[in-house]
Amino acid sequence: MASKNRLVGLRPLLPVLLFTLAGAGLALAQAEGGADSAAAGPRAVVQDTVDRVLAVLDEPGLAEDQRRSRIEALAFSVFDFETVSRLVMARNWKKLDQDQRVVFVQEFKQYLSRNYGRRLERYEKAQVEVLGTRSEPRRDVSVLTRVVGGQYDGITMNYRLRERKSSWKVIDVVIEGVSMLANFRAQFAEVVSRDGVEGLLEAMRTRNMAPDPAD
Amino acid sequence: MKRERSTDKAQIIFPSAGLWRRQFRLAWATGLFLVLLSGVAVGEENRPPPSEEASAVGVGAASDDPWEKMNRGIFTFNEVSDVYVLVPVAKAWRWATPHLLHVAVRNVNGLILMPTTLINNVLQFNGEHVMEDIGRIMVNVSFGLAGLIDVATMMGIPANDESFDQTLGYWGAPPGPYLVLPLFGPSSVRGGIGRLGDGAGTFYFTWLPIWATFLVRGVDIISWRSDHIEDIDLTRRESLDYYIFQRDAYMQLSQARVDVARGVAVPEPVDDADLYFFDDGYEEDLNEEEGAGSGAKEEERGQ
Repeated sequence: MASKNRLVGLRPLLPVLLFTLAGAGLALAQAEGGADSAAAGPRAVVQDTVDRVLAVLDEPGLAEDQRRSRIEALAFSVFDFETVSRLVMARNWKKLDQDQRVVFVQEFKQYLSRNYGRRLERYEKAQVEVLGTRSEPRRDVSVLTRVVGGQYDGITMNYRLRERKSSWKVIDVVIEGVSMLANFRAQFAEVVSRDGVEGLLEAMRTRNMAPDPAD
Repeated sequence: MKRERSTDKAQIIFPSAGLWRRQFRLAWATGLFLVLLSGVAVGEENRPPPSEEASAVGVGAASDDPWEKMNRGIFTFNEVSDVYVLVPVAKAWRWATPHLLHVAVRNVNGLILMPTTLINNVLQFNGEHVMEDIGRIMVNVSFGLAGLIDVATMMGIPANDESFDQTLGYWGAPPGPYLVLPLFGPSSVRGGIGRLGDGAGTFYFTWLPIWATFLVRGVDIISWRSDHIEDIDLTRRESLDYYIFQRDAYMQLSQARVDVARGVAVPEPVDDADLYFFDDGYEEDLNEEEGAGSGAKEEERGQ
């Protein structure tokens, strides 16, 4: 495994890092626009996404918040937030009533976009190489990619896509074998079991409304 | 803590090796104790299947955390140490260190840890990687001026990174319960033992006085941390539960690395079927939706 983080002593922290990368990955996946994705296959969706995000990042003279909102817009169009919301909540989905479900999807959308829009600015130097696709159970398709250049050169990043309403949308990002969906599911389940569904919604709301610290 | 292995020869020649040896024994005793405690080494098959609640979480391995209370305690200690000690030092390092020096330090540390990777690749019977590792070490020691310049990467020799945790997994050892190590962070029983094993890869540290060992390792940690101040802060801040984030990410990653070592080209996320097709009526909703051919809204679905 050709990870560039050569840290025997620090290896436990590697996941944190990789997950950070999910940011880049997601954001890259996000770049897929809504308009022409309808007919595009999963590979084209990811490729197009990557190109668009890189274009936004490369565009000179773009204000920081403009950049963010464009990337968020790309995120909104490439993810199937409803499916991801259900999968991420799993059993707990049933604990949400109708109104809570609407709120959940809304907050989760915001949470993801915010979470990863912030990171993206840090990955300007990276390129992404689409390596191929792999069929998954029940008609899902994974698009396999690798980061080229930058700090995380060589990291594998796979996007899992599912077709709904005849367009392919991302439902998971798997970085070096770490599924973002699984990770969120574990966290959400913990918060629900501790603070209930209202507690979870509140926690997401708090994150979403927090101002950006100047760092 | 990390460089516990010493050889008898080193014992004779270097007095400080004795201390390492004692620590090594102590560490192994601790590791064995933990194995016995968890019963993973013997009772993996006999363990009860994950409960309903656990499978709702999705990732069986990661939700297996019988020592959560203790782990969270150590986690909190680690967090405090990181925020109040390591991060300030890392910031100072970043402020004070010219870029070229920083890169050189990183390169040297990469080389120092290379024998660990080499040994693990031998133990994983990965001939190709072994050749790469030997090539990398030779090139960087010579042309790279003892590791200051990463010539190997310029020549296209990949920088492999293998651990004994991975090797143990390759041999079939289960990870055992999640375990947070003081200062070293996320691990598992297998990961902890792997860490001790990896110490053997830097056997030559026993030739140095202890303060020098700590200096070298310390600089490595600080320099690495200084590269990731913003990344980690962001993750910490945005996570809904940072402890769970770490636990899940660690367990998944550790498994994926074993998959890679076993030749699974693209590692699968754990618990695949349940993760992507959770049965909550989604399938029916989906079919309905496709049949109707209309964009059903979230609130119209799943009663």
